[in-house]
Amino acid sequence: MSAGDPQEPVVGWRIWRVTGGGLRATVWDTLWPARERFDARCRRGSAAYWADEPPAGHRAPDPGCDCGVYAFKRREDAEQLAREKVDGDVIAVGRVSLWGRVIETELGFRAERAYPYDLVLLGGSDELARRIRQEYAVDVSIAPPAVPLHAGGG
Amino acid sequence: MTSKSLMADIGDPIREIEIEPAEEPVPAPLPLPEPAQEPVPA
Repeated sequence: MSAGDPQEPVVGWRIWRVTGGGLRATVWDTLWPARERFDARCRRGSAAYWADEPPAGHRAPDPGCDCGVYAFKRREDAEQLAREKVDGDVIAVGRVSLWGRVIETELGFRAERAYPYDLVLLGGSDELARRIRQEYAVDVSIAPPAVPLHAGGG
Repeated sequence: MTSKSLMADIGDPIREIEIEPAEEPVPAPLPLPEPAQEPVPA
């Protein structure tokens, strides 16, 4: 982690579900608004941790809670999560800037504020990548098709 | 996948920090579209 300078956001890795409407969190399906800071709000005891309702009494992330924007330190961990999430939807793996209150953990972070840094789409079209790039103003590329484990040779 | 399992994925807390960047890494909003103007008769 490069959190030595408290003036510079931490950069972690996470995944999003990509829909026609934009980027969505894979756990709670919360929309990450384009060109707006994503603020974590705790709604402990409710169905989701991020919503338009007022915070439930504490600033996110709280050390005693599990609220906040989640990110990994290593790309491989985000990619592993993406593989578990592949169910027909387009998944984006990418770096995310994190700031505000940030809780560093062994393998990642929980943060108060966030915005995507860059994205790689697993699947999707050039048109979808272009639209996400334009809406969110971040670099977006498409991952090359995965090579089957037993392709070639033989 | 729940926040509980995600919490397990990222491990135990190490420390808490406050990061207040001089400039937040959020791009400027798109300019509003120009209002449609009806043609003015000559």
